[in-house]
Amino acid sequence: MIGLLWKDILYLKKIWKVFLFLNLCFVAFGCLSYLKNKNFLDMSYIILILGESFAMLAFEYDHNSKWKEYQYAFPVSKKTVVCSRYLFGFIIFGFYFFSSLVGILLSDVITRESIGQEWILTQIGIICFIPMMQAVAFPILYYFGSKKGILYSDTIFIVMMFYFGKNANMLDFHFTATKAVLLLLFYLCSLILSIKIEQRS
Amino acid sequence: MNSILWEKAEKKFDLFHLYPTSMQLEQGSIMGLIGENGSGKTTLIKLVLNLLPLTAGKITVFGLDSVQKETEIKQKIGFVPDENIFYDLFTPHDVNKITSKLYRNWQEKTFFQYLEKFQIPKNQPIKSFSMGMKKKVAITSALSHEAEILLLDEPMNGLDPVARAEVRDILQEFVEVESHSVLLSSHITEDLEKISDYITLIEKGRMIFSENKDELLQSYGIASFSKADFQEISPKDYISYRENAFGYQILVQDKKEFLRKYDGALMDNASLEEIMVFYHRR
Repeated sequence: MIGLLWKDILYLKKIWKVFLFLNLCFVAFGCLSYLKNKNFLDMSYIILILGESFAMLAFEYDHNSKWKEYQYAFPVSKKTVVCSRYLFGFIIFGFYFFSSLVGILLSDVITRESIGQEWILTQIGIICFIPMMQAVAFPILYYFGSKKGILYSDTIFIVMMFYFGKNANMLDFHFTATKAVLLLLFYLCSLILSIKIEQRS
Repeated sequence: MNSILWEKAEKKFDLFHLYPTSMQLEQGSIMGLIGENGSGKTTLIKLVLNLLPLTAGKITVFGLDSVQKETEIKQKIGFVPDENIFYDLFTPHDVNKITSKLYRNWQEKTFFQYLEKFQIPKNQPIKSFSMGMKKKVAITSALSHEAEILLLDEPMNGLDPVARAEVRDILQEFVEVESHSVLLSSHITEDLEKISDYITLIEKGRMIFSENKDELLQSYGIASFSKADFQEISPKDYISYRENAFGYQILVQDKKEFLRKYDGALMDNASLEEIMVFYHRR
């Protein structure tokens, strides 16, 4: 599992310029957005897109390099392969989770205005959409392959974001312990489903 | 003792059928797989690694079932696919980092020694490598985890004559250890003639033969006839024929037997390439 995780992390390291550029954009955009709207909503959307895209890109790289076709020539089980990809997704989520917390705190210091616990919890709640989106996307990617899978997943996310953008009150995303448990269960169910799909393929 | 045993191993695709195949790879030996493109050589190798599920039959590696003990078996197998599987962005150094975590007995020192021997830069991305260099990285990786079996799918593709000679030497050195064995497919039959102990010919999904190379080359022959003489040869006595400007050439399975029957026939030794081509003409 560590070898597979290494592969995914090395891939991120190789595209660090793109990764850094997009993350700097996200920080700049987040700060501007906060100064204008006094909330981090726009920043959150970007985080969601980045968090999901970098995890999905790993599938595309596997496909393009023929790794997907030959990875089982190595002594790894299908379960290990799927688990390592979910762990990688979780690492990306962790990165953006802490980045956004740091962003919030920095904004707090720079603007000398208290953001308030409500918005911080809402921000965390929104960021938790990253593992949720991964939990939706990964089984689709395992089932349809990277090309069709990315297309289908992106369509679902665009529809979801459009719907929530129009209808939901952002405070509905308030982070609670119950939601965290539900998210964890959802992530685990998605993992089991992906393992089943991969084992059947 | 067998390293790999195929027992009626069969694989059905929509457009291709590898018919039930029974053969064995003996320890301490090199087996060459020959056959035209799409004949089933890669399928036969992939079945050992369970990269393709068997439709029927069984494959055992060191007496262990290739499906049930898949992960355990793969620790002992070094595999070189016919294409690069690592991300183009990765360097051989990265390959070492990844594969060292996948194999229990990874030998980092061996890996870098082979890279040096093949003159492969360890910090340059694989995308800047030629096809031959990519092959060398794959071969290096296969040789660096104390594998007991090497499965090589077209390992000589893209290699220059010097590098091919190097790889042949490495493979021969590898099988000096009694428990080691090599299965390699190649279109370059000249390499197989030089290093193989056994040759297996696959034609349109059917295994035609799997025999000791020396006995094979001693037994098979190519006889030449004028057009008039060729008419007198029974089709049962040859595999196939080839017409040329001087008459006919036929491939015979047992040249001594043939010469006993057709005394005075002009007989030459058959090369592996000729055997393969004549079988294809059947």
